[in-house]
Amino acid sequence: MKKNLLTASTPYLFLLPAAAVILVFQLLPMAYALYLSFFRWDLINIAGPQFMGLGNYLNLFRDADFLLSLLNTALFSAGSIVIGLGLSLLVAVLLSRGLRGLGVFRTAYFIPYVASMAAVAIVWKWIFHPAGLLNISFQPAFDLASAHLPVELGPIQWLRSSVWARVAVVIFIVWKTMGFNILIFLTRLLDIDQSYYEAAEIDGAGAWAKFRFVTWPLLMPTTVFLLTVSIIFSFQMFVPVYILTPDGGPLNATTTTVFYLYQSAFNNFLFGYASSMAYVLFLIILGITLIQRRILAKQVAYED
Amino acid sequence: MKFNPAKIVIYLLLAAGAVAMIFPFVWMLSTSLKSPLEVLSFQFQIIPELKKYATVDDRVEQVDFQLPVRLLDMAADFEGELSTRILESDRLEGVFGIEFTQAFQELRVEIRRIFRREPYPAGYRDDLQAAIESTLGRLPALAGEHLPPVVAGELGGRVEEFQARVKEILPDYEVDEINDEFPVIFLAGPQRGETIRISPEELRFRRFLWDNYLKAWRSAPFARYFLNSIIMSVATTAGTIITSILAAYAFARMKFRYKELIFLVLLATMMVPKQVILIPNYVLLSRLDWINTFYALIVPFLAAVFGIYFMRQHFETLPQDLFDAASIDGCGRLGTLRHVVVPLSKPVIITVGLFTFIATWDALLWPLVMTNTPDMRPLQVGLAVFSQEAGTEWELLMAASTFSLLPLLVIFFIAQKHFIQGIARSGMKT
Repeated sequence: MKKNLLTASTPYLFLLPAAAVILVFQLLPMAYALYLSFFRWDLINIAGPQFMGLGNYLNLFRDADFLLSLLNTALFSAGSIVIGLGLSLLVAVLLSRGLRGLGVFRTAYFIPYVASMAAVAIVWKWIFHPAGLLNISFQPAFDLASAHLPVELGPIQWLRSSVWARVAVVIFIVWKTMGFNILIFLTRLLDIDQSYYEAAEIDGAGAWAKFRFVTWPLLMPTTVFLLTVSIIFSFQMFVPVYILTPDGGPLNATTTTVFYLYQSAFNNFLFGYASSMAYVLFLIILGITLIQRRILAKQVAYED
Repeated sequence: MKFNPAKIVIYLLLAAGAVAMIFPFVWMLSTSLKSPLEVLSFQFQIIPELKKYATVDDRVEQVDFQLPVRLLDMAADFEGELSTRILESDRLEGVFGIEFTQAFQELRVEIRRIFRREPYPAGYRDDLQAAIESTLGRLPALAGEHLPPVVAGELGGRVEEFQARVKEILPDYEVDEINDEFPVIFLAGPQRGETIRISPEELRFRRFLWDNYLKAWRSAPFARYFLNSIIMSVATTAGTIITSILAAYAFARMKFRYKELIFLVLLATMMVPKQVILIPNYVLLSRLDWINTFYALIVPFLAAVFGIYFMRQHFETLPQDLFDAASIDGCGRLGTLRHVVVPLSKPVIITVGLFTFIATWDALLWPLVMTNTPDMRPLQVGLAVFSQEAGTEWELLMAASTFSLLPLLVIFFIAQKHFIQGIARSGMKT
């Protein structure tokens, strides 16, 4: 009998270490964050937490800084998707042409993705410096324009103007994440059955038609996956902003939602308020994931 | 191989892209070996080179070619500073801020124009004087129109500071105060007709300042940061591998109640962004008195659902015969795990370990929040703090970035195959 009990509990013993850690440091904190989000809790406030109901959530949508952070996040997502995914697809398609030296190219494109985020963000902060690499490279163009056009173009203040600071962040994300996107696209491209292309060729399809009617539809699930990953990455982005613009950018132009959450919680100690922000973030990410599932499910049904 | 122009174009495009991806690293290395003067020289110089200039009387001296950049930086700083102050004082019209900004932007364009070529044109100091004077000269008129006296006075203080700093870097110029409210700078002393010509070839030579690495290493406790990162990453990786193997084994090879339900709950936690549990964990870890200890950096990450998921998938593919044989040989559950499962699962264990190690090594937000003294900071936090403190010493920052990048790059090159397969697999889930 005793032995039976022991045998029956064996699976749970195997599970215990992992389950305990996940329960204590993930599941309970999730519930606790939800609980906190209904309270005003400033840490400095001696009276202790005050119940607010949905007050924090309602305040969030009246908080111009929070709405701006959502807008910034959306802009970063859009920029990195349009430019980043477009370029990645181009490179992946070119790489999939059975070239020699595929490995060398793949490694070159992939290195930024594996490099430490903080270190490369510092490198780019230097590249975006008014006397940095980008302005040095553009100077001949500025000089030319100044000589022939009635405008004086000077060095760009990359991280000091609200428009250019956003452009700078997008450039950085595109550079950093392109290796990942290329690798995923490339893996899928190399998996595509060559007979599809042979059939298309028999039908007289040119290179563009083959891409448009064979590659693109077959890549759709991968594209949707990368789209989701890019959006979620933007919504969780903290380090690039923290390093490139430690104060959140000119007029908060580069403050992402997570950056604002960090500032609210650990600079201003608004724990309750920041928790409600965390939950909104969670719901957004959950929503995006569910939409992705939906689209992919439809896609699969359509292909069958 | 037959000659194919389309292929050549593809190669060229890909090569250009690859260069663009790699060039930031080249520029980082290049900067890390330069002198502070050359770093800010606004030159596209990849191989560091020390330039010397000779004046007409053949006295060899090094021209301060950092000067224009420092002036540019200063003008930009003051533009930002002054327009912020103007925006902050609510009684002002926005137009004024824009005009103000424009004045400084024109100054910057002018500075750029003057210093566009080396050697600097004869009489460049006269031009500089005229440019700075004209900018600062416009400010009182602008201020008189729009500014209440209090703000004008405050701004005056800032302009004085600007002048003082110009004087600092242009010592032969004199600041002459002619106006209480907005003292205007007067520059004196440039020798008219002064010429500087570029030195003969032998006065340029290559010089790599390896010293920068030592300087950077010593300007912050980097040895400690590395040690902390190693302790944190190794402990987390080891713990995650062990807990994942145990849990995955139970899920893959044992029958128990609520198995699928528990697994689903675990999978659901993968959807939760780490930022959501940051605040409650901060509260929890403070209560445990774990803030600023290794416990706070390691214990919460001793299990990873993605590890359990990956390993379960693999364990399920192992043939049942192996387990039957092990059990006939008298192996217990743990024995089977050690002698049968683990040896057959090395690739998946390496992949899980690799990803855990990299994620832990690269984490910044969590350790930033959970540590508060330099001796507990892991490398990423130390580096971020260093970048805020070292500010403009770019050659040191680039040296620090270089040695901080090394560990992950080395790991990547050693384990490239596992790494690329692991990532490619993450895309296969779709």
